[in-house]
Amino acid sequence: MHGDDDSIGKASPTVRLAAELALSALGKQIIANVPPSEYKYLGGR
Amino acid sequence: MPTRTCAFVGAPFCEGQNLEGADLGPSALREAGIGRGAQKLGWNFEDLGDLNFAAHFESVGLGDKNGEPHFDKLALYREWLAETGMHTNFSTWVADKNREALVNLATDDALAPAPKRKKTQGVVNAERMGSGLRLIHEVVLKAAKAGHFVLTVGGDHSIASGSISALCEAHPGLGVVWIDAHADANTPGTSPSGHYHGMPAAHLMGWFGREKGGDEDAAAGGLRGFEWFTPGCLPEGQLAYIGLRDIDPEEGEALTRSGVHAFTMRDVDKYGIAKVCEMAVAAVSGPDGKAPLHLSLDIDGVDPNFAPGTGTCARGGLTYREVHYICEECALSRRLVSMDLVEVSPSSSVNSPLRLHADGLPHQVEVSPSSSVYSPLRLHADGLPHLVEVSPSSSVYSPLRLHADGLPHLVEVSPSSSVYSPLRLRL
Repeated sequence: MHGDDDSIGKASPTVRLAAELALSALGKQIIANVPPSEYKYLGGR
Repeated sequence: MPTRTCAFVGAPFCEGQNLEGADLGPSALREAGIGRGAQKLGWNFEDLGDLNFAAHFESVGLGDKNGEPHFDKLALYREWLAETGMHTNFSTWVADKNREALVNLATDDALAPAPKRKKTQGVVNAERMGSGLRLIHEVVLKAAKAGHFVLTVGGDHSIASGSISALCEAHPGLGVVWIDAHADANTPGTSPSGHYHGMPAAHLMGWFGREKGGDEDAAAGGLRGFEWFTPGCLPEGQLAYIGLRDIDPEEGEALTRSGVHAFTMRDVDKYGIAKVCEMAVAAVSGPDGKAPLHLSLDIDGVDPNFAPGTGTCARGGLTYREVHYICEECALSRRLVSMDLVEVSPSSSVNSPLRLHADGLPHQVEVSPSSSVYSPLRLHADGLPHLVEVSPSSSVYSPLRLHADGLPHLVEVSPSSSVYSPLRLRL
C-alpha cells in the first residue's frame, strides 16, 4: 500500500502516517512519483 | 541531481492551547526519517532545525507565562478520554474544568454549581503567541522567497498564521487546502476557550473583531503581539477545508455566511474523496486555475483509528487512503509550494484507553509504537476479552480478522512475520 516506505523508521502510528503524508505531498505516488523539478513556482523566480 | 529544495522548519510551538505534546512533532518526524524519504524522492532536504521559542521569548522579555496554568499533558488527556468519551472538545473541557476549579476556590463551596460557559473575549497568551508566530513567519518567508518548498512542522495549528501569512506574501494569489476536523475559525469573541489554535483561519481571513461587540483593535490588526500581522491576507475564497466535523455553533454560522469553501465529512460521504478533492483544489486555484497551493494538514482531520496521536481527536474522520489521496492530488497539481503538518503528538499516540475499551470489557493490550496500521475498535469488535501483543516489526496487522471467530485468544505476532493472517492459521 502507498505510504509504507522503507525510509521511515521506528515511529508511532501517527508519526509514521504524518511522515508518509509529507512524502505524498512531496510527490510520492504508488507507481510514478512526481519529480521535484516538475513543481512549479519553486526554484526561485 | 536534486532540482528543488524542501526546507524543513521545525516549529514546536504549543502556545495556542493548553495541551502540549505536539511540540515533539518535528523531532519525531526527523527521527522517523522524513529527510531520507524526501531525498529518495529527489529533493534536496534542508533541515532548518527547530525554532527556539524559549530563547526567543527570553530575548524579547516574554520568558514568563505570568502564572498561566501549565498542565500535565498526558494525564489530562487521559482524564479527558475517560471522562467525556471524546464527546466534548478537549479545549472546551479543559476551559470548563478550570473555570469550575476557580469558582470553587473563590466560593469555598465544593458544591457550587458549575457556571455557564462564558466567552473569553480574548486570546490566551496573546503577546507570546504573536511574538512566536512572527518568528515562524520570518523563517518561512525567507525559505519561500528562496524558492524552496517549505514544510513547516508544528506544534499546534496556530503556526498556520505564521506560515500562511508568509506564504501569501511570497506567493501572491495562494490557495489553501486545509485538512482538519475543526475549522479553527473562532474569533476572540466566539471562542469558548480563548486558545488561539482554534482561531488562525479566522485571523488570516480578517474576521477578528467583526462580530457584534467584538474587539475593534483586533479587527484592525492591533491585537497585542500581532502588530506585524496583516489580517485578511488570505481571502475567504482562497481557503477550502476538507474533513470538517467538529464545529462550534457560531463558527458554523460564520462559515455559512462566508465565501469559504467548506467540505465536511458529509461531503466526503456524499461525493467521495476524489470529487471533494477536485472541487476543493479547483475552488482555490484562482480564475486561471493556476494559483500556487498550500496544504495545511492537521492530523486530527484523519480518523482517530488511523491517527490517535493528537490532542483533539474527533471520530468519523478521513481514512488512511483518503488523506493520502488529497496529498497525492496536491502533488499532482504541480502547484503545491508548501505544507503545514500540525498537531502530531507522539506522546499520546499509543495506548488510548477509551478506544481500547469501547466494548466495555477488560483487555490487556500493548501496541507497539511502530505498528503502522492499528485499529483498536476493530480489534475488539467481537466483544470478548483478549490478550494481544503486537510486535514492533509487524508492518501489516489486521486485528479484526485476528478475532473474527468470536473466541478469546492469546495471540503473539512474531517480529519477523511481515504479513500475518491468523484466520488462515485457524482453518
